[in-house]
Amino acid sequence: MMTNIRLNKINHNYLIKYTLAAFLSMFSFVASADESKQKQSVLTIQPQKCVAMREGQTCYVDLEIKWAMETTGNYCLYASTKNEPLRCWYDAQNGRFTTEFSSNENTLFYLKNEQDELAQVELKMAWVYKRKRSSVSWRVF
Amino acid sequence: MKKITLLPLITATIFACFNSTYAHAENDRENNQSHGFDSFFAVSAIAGVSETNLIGDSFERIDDTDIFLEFDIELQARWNGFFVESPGRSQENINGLFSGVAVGYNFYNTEHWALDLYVVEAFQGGEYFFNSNTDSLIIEKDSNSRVGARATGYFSDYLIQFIASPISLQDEIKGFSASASLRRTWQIKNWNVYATVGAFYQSDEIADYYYGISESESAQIKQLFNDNNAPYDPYTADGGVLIVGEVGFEYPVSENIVFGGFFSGVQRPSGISDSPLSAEGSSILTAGLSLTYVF
Repeated sequence: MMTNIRLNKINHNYLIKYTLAAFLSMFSFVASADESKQKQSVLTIQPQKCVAMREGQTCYVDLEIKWAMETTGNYCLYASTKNEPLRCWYDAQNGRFTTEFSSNENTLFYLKNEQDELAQVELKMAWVYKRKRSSVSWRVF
Repeated sequence: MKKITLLPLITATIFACFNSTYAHAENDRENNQSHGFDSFFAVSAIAGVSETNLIGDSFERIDDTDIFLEFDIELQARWNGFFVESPGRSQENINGLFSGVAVGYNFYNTEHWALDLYVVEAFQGGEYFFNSNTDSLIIEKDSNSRVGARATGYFSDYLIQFIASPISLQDEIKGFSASASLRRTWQIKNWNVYATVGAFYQSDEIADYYYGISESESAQIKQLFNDNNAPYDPYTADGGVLIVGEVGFEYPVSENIVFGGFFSGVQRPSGISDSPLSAEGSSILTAGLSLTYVF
């Protein structure tokens, strides 16, 4: 963080650089306020992208999701495509979840403690053949 | 003789020009018109084995197994209905079983069908080389570009394509060609497995241009070999129907790289396979693996 800048050490050569850094640090401070809950947690997903052949096809992937928190508690892992939790851990500080997952749209996975969303990661869908000509319905005349 | 072998070059040039002003196609659903540019570009390396029978040194037919490695460039560019394309190894929907290098215009679409008018390089030209101990002879055959119509149907996992190419741009060839093909694709996890069958008809005029031997050609060949028993008597090649069947798979290694494999069989019409000029026999079996990079 750049909040402890000592102005008396700044010379003219570094004025622009420090000004820019301070400016950016203001943004990071604002952002960090929103992310304060997530900052203490770690939620990772492997792989981060699922690739199918053709746009719109369901993509299949073996997922591994890991999480770690600073405090022990009750946590549940959710996917944006389902209302029910994928798995819950009780009196735990970290966890690991593996599954064979399939979807045809980007999916968010998030870790919740009671009603609070603590962290989220996204599994992105990708396709080699991105056009789907069968859906094209244009004509020139 | 005229040679229409510039089509691939023209196609690539137009593609490059389009690509420099790339913009994704946007569909205006309200007036059913297309604006912008849409393209597909891929390169493939294919290795495999092919089995057929060839004419041996003593003019007899011998079974031959050939190991091959080839590289394909596949591209398509579409702009307001106009398109240029060159087929390749991928199973992307731009190509049916019998598509060739083509320029054309997509003039009508429904929910499932796309209708195109186009000029396609329907038959590739080439040269027949005859070498004796003392001399050689080359008989040249032009490529044949034809004006035709193409209807491609997209029905979920099925691709159906009909092509009729009645008009030849080479006066010396004429004739008529037509084809029909059907492909079914299955998705098994992230693997795409497909099966294709198709039939391709070429008329007598086309078959005879490429596989017939005129009296003067026969005389030249026999004179070259100084052998009246050489099997190059005048030959009139009849047209017929070529049947193709293929099964294969594709697997996305990454967003840009596709691993594929195929096994295909071709049954050629006897009027062509019986020609002394035919380098391949009545059936051709090919199996191969491919690695494709999609840009």
